[in-house]
Amino acid sequence: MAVGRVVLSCSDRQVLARVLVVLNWVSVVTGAVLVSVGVYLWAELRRWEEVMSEDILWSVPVVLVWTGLGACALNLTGARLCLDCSDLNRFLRWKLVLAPYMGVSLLLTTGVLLAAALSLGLNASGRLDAALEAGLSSAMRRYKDSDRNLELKTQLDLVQIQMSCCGKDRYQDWFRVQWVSDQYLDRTDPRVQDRFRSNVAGLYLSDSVPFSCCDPASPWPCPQTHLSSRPAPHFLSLVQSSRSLGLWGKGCREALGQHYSSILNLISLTALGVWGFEMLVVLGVRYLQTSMESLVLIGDPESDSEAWILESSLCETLRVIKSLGKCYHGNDDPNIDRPITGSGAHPTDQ
Amino acid sequence: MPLMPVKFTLQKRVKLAQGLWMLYWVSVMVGILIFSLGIFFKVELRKRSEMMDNNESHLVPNLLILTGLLTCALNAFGGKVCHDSLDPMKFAKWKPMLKQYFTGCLAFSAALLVVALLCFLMQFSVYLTLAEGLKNGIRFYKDTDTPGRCFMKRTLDMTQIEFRCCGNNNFRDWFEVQWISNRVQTGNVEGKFLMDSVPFSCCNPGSPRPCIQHHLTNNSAHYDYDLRTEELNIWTRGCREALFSYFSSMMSSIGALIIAADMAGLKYLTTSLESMADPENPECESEGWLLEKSVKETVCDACAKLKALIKPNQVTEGEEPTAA
Repeated sequence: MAVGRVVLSCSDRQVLARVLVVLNWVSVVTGAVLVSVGVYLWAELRRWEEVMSEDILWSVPVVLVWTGLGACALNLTGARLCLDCSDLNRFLRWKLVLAPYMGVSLLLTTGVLLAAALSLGLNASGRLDAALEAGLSSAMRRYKDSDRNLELKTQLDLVQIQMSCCGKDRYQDWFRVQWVSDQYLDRTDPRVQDRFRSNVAGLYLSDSVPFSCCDPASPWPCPQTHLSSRPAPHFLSLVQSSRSLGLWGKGCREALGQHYSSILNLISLTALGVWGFEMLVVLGVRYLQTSMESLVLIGDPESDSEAWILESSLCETLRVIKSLGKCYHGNDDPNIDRPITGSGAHPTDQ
Repeated sequence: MPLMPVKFTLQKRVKLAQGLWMLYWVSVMVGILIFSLGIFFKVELRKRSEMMDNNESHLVPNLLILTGLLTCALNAFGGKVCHDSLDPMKFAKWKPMLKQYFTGCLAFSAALLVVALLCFLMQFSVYLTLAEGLKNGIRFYKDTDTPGRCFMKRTLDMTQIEFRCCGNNNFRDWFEVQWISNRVQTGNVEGKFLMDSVPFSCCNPGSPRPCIQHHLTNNSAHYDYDLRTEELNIWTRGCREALFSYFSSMMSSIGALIIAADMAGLKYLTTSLESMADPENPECESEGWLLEKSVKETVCDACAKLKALIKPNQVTEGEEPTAA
């Protein structure tokens, strides 16, 4: 019992072929969309690469770009193929190519689904958040080493300015790290010595923040230093107390998390949509292929022909696939021709 | 004697018409590009209008939008005529309008050159408006509680961060005004509080040391600091120069694009004249030319027509004596 069996007349086949050509061209466009979304994510990851610690996030744009390019190429051939398949003579030229073409199509659609699953998974499982947490902590600790890694300091400053955030979760995070480089501290100054002695780790800790924490929308000049002596009332939230000081209200983990989350959500939605569309195209090409194959058996180009998704039911197809694997190893296939030994008479003798 | 006569067979005419049709549609694309560049320029001027004291002239972007639309319309019409030129029935209805169309196109090309010239010349007015606007911006920086000026601080800070600049000519402009709001610190000398300090938006993120904003001219106020050798601490460029170079590069590239489009346009205008000149009999060979008579004769004819238009009385006066 075939799966999805349907009878197609000659005009049905022509219409199907024409519709599939159009759909293939649309798929080329969607493939290009996937590539561009992948490139956009790669550019955004590259922009703040110093504050992200996780490498697995880079796999998403790679998968997207490769599957997008593959989809473009495949659907271009698919458009040509479907154009030819409406005619019986031209179909015979493509007959051998069709099976591997279907195989590669299925592989590509799986790739697109993988990209969607990856971005959804990274977003939902908290890997993104953990990567930002680790990356930002490490970046804030290395902020002062500008002589060795000026790029990191510049990027962290630009993150805070462009993403409107300060510190990892709040501006007080800067009080716990030494962010002023030792070479700019006057060790002979007693106040500086006091600071060094005031904590166990021997770091220069102060209640001040870098200039990139300042909010231009605040009505007064930014107070970067002596922030502990400007206490905010307890009833004010973090955002409100930061704003009252003239600093950014958000933490960078939250800001960057929202930014990348929205990109990954967009990617998973786009990839799922493209996957659904591609499956539709694969289904259509399968119907066209089987209808033309049964037409070849009938011989008359004008007559109706049967089309299906799977020739036998699902279980039988799985059995056939299993036995295909076995026939390379087994010797007990009854269809193999073997000379009859013993007393059995040859049928043709009678 | 026609100018530059060329013999056309049917195939040659078909090829010429097809090629011209493509060119006309490319020109429609260029028209759309000019239109969108005009809109982009207008939006940019609006965004920075506070830096220009809301005094900026929107003449150039408005002209660009208009010319973009006109280019699209003229070239779409030309493309339609080209498409119909191979069918004598359809072409017959367009034939009487062609002469006016070509003169219109020629006039439009001249107008495009004027617009391109304006793009280059108006840069001076942008420069002057910027100088005035930035001076006022720095003066009103602290007035965050005055209605109408309360966003000046934010706009100026964002501009300095985005364009990587400080002050009008350079950072010393900030030393001459009190930019710290009276609410934060009360004045001493003449009620003004002038310091050698700059706002935080002048800070350069690419500096290896934390930003030094205050007591900039006092080398001893900071450890291992010398104003003369310190280049990375704050932005050294003035905002007038930064904003002007941004706008002038935009205007220059738009002007150059218009000139290039104009040159290309004139070239295919001449070829289209050749094709449209004589397609009466579709099958046989025909002659095409640029101008029906030589350049001198055409100019003389045009002058005579113009004179007749301006002074019709002279013709009637001349006739009267003969009637009498």
